[in-house]
Amino acid sequence: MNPADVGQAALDAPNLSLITLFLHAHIVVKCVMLGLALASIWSWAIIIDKVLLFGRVRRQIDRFEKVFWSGQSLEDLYRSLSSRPASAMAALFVAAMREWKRSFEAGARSPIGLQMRIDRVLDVTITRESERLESRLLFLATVGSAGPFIGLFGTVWGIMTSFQAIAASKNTSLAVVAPGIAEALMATALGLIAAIPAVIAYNKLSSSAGKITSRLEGFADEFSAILSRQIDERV
Amino acid sequence: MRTGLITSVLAHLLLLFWGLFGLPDTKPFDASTVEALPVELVPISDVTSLQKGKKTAEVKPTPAPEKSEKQQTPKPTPAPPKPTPPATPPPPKAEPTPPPQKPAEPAPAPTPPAEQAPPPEPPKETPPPPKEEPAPVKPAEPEKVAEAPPPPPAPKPRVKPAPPKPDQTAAVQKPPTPTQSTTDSKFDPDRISALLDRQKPAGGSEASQTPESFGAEEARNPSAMMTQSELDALRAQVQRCWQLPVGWTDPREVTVTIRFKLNQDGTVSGTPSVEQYPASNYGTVAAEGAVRAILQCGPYQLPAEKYDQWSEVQMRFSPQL
Repeated sequence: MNPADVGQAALDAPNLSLITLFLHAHIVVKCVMLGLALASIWSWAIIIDKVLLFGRVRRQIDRFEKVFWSGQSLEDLYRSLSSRPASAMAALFVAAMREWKRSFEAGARSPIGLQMRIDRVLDVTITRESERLESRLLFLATVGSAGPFIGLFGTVWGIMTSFQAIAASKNTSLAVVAPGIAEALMATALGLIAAIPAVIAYNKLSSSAGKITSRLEGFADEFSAILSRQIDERV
Repeated sequence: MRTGLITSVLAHLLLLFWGLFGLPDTKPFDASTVEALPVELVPISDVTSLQKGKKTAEVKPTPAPEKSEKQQTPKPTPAPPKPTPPATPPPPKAEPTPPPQKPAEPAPAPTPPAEQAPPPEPPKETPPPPKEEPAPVKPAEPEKVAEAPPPPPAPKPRVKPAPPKPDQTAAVQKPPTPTQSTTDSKFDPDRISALLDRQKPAGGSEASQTPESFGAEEARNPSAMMTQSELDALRAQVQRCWQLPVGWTDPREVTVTIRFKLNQDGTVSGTPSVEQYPASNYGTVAAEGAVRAILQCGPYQLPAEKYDQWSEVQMRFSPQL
């Protein structure tokens, strides 16, 4: 946009709604604003998705633990879950049980090797599950840290443009300067709007993911202890 | 993931629409800018020099002229005993009515030479009136003598005084009218100044002490009232350093009155005292700001010869919208 046009438009349109601010902005500032708006939309999508997912996972874990510690036979439990493990913890259980069964069916007689294999399988499953939990959280971190900078870039660019407008129109009255600065500042506002929820959500979600993961690890240790006792009994 | 994305997009669109239609339009600022922050100077003299104000006030009204006649006469004989004033006044009287009194002149004529001797005659009548007015006494004297020739007064140039004269009581009342007429004609500023000077001797014996002391102070620099431009100059000097607290809405919230003393060289002596400040949140802040401004901006450039006027200054700090 021609700087002179900016000044002219500012004189014509004294009422500064969001749309007019956006339409009068320089193309670079427009791009920044659009990018930030998309980032905000995407980060909110991630936030909503993760919040729902974590709630669901927590509820499933609670349910599985209740069933697991109810004294039900592990074999029965395995049979009911093996076809389609419903939760992260069930997947952990199924993976360990499958490895156990396979080893016994194959007639393996080395208890140390069996114990090692079961632990390995549990680790892999935990890693996979926690990866699933934490996927896309990094995007939130990125938006949170880079959003303000991107917005600031838009602001600096917009102010640069409005100063050029001043130079072109040779009029330093505030009415000429103000619209340009207002639209430039809108870029920073958008950056902050995108970044603040992203930062807060990232902290909250990553800590919840950590908690769930540590719960899985605790269960894995306990289950591994149970299996190793079984191994000792059978061998 | 799809639910999250859809929800997010919808929420953003909702927010955008709210921003477009729900948000009130940016309202323009009120253009009534705070242009000047005038400081009112209330010179202490308004409070302290009440005496002077009274004097000027008395001079203006008509009653003053009566005294002027008194004063004209006392000048020659300020200290002498009371009887003398009655004796001297006749001459002024003679001026307005020279022809008619000719027959009576014998009486006044003898008095001047024996100014102090004649007391026997006037004392009789003077005792009661002298305190009130010396003037009324005089008329009584001439009329006694003039009673015999009542006709002559009639031909006088002035018609009014002539008819009433017959009665002594009437005569006593009459005199005031001629005096007033004369005063009206002769009323001019020069005479007022003469009055001022006369005031001391007139009230001299009884109540002169305190007024005189006041007079002396003023006499030191008679024309030393601070001019408006000098007040403005002081105001401008203080105003340079004055900063208002931020956030006030009503000028009364930050209007404070400060009183401070100045040294001969224009520096502030002691600490300024806050005479009054509003009971708002900004009151104390505004008062401190004003005191700071006064202390910071010294020494002040003021005319040294008028030090009496600005040795103590009371200043009102008030932003005017």
